[in-house]
Amino acid sequence: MVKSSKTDSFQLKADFLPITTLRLLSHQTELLQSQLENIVLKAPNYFTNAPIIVDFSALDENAPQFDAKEICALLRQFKMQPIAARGLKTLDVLPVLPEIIKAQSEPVKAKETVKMTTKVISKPVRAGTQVYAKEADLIILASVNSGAEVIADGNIHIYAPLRGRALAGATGDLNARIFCAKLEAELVSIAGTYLTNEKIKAMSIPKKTVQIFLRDHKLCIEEV
Amino acid sequence: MTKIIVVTSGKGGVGKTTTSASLATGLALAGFKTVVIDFDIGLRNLDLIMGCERRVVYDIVNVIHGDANVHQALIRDKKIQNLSILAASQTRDKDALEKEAVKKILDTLSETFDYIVCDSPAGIEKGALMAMYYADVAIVVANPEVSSVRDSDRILGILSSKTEKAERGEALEEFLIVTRFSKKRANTGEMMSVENIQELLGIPLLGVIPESLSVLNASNSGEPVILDQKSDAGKAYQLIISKFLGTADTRKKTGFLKRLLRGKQEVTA
Repeated sequence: MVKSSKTDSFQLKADFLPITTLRLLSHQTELLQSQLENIVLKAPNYFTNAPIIVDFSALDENAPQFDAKEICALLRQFKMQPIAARGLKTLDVLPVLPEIIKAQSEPVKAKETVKMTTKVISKPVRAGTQVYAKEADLIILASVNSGAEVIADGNIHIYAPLRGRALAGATGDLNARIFCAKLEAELVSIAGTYLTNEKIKAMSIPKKTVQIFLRDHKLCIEEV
Repeated sequence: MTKIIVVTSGKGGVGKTTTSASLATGLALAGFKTVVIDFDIGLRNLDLIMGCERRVVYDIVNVIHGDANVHQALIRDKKIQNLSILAASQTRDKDALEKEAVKKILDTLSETFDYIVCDSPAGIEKGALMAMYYADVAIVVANPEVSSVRDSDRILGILSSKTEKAERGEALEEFLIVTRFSKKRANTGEMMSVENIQELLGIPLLGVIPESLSVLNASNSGEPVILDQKSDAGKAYQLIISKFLGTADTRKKTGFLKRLLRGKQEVTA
């Protein structure tokens, strides 16, 4: 045995715990529901989040009305947590049970993905103006004039000529890109790597919609 | 409803005061009660171009300080009945202007006048900001050269953020006037073309004033160039007045296609 000391974070022990078994006597869900309602009326919170083992041994699994899924769903409606099944002869009804755990963890994940939003600008960005899309993509439907500056932590899309400065991936996102309908920029930058007007002019740029991105820490300009 | 028009450009020497004087004169001749205010405190010029420099008794700073009321300070034009001028002070600077005081003056003038034309000083400092703050219509004057067009672009940016209308979330009417234009030099590529300027600024064009000696002559003689019927610059300003009154009044009535066609005609003219 491993000697326990103050630095241990846990102990392992074998234990026997009492757990509620719900022994089903009938597969009629209406009957089950009315009985559950009665219980909840008498003791409203007694079974809330209580782990339950469902005992199917008294039922005939081959009866046409038998639906293990529906029974589990009904128990969850009354805030019980069916964690295991007993007395099932066919195993293919079993996978119903773990669904609860999945279903509960999903909403938390969904919240995290909403975080990234998009900023949309529909008027020209004029000289001396700065637009910053914090933790977001930036979409501009009009021109970015010379002397203007557009910055985004994500990608930048410009559906008109870009004549000012555009800085994507401002907080260091190396995968950020800039898309624009006509590249005449004073400066473009992705995650701190930049090209000035003279350098852009020296490259042969297609006079179409282009995308600007990082490849091996170098800025590439390519036709979309 | 009184309309407050600001004539602005950002850059100096492009023709703001010439345009303000001719615009105000033209509107007055068209039958509207018009007042033109010089916001260029310390560098007053409008009174010279309007030919009333010897008749200035009180100026806008006197009105702000309460030395005189607005109507005492107004100078009525000798020839044109509907036209008045509120001169700038020559001895103070632009810090004398305050938002509340300017609003009070504009509110008083709104009771009697149909159009208030504000002649903005150059730059983007207090004087220019005060001139544009309460405007309903902005007329941006630009010369066909890159520095002027960039400054106009900057001014348009300020117009869409630092005016009362912008702060309320309403849209200001914006128009472009290109001055000192020479077709010959634009064709040879020495000057920017009108199409190019319009593409860069992206606002509707009201008209093009050709480079003309008559503008200088008019300034020297103290008569707005619009009154010079023979000069091309004078005719161009008259065209601008009729277009401005046309667009200002029938804007909502005319269809999209008609407006599009009219815009095209003006560009090629």
